[in-house]
Amino acid sequence: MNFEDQLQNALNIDNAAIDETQFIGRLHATQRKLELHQARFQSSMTTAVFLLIFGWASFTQLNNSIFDMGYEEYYSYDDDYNYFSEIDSSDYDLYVADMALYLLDEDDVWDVLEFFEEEKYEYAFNAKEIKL
Amino acid sequence: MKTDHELIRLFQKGDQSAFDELVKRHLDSVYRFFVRITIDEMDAEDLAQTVFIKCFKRLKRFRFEAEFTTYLYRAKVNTANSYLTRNKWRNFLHLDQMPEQSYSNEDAPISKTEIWAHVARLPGKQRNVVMLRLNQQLPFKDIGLILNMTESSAKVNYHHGINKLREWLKDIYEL
Repeated sequence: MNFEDQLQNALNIDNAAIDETQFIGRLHATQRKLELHQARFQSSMTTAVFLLIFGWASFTQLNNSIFDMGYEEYYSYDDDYNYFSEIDSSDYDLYVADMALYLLDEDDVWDVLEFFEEEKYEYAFNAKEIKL
Repeated sequence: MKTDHELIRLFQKGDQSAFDELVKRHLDSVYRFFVRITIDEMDAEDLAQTVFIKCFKRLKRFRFEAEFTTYLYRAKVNTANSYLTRNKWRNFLHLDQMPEQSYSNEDAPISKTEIWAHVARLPGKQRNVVMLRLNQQLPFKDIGLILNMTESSAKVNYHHGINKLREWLKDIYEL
């Protein structure tokens, strides 16, 4: 027996058989799965394209006002901000506020600041109020 | 009885049963092709599924320029190539630990596993020609038609491939 015959002899399979019905059943299941995947893929792509177009259209309609806003404008405090309404949470705060107002009535701003320094009180400036 | 081309035309018009008929007609040859190559019948069945799923996807664009069997052989060879390449290193690393195949000729002096492990080492054209010749005993003219090469090119590739296989298997089996 030559080499090629030996190879073909090794690959000889007389007893191989397959269940045709079962195979076709499995094939149908795989086909359905494949069709489902394709449908999902198509619907995902459609959604993605729609979102892209919608997002782009919305973006192009935005005005540029937010980008033109300056730093100070963006972070400016409200003019009507009532500073003392924040510090009535405790007796101590009320005491400091009363004392500060009393010293202000005396028209001496530096005394007020000195008082704050003595009390080590965390004060905040309102530039507009000091000017007044 | 309808021809393969007639069945494909019906399938292209949406007749699923025509595709089933095509599968029934060629299932045995496809399955036996893979049984000769794979480790067990489950692998062979999976590969046969892969081939028919490829057909299912592509037959809708079939242009009737060649016989369906030629198309099917190409699909079988491509699928077998993927399988052999995928298992090439695994086969070599675990050759001694691999279970023997479900369908194997125990009287044969050479193991099926080792034949395909060595066929997988051949260069592409030689591998395809050797695969079709050993597996299906096809004439070189038909092999050339399937693999898009001349008959003499198929012969030369087969000759080189078989010589390499003999060289590699010589040490193991003292051929």
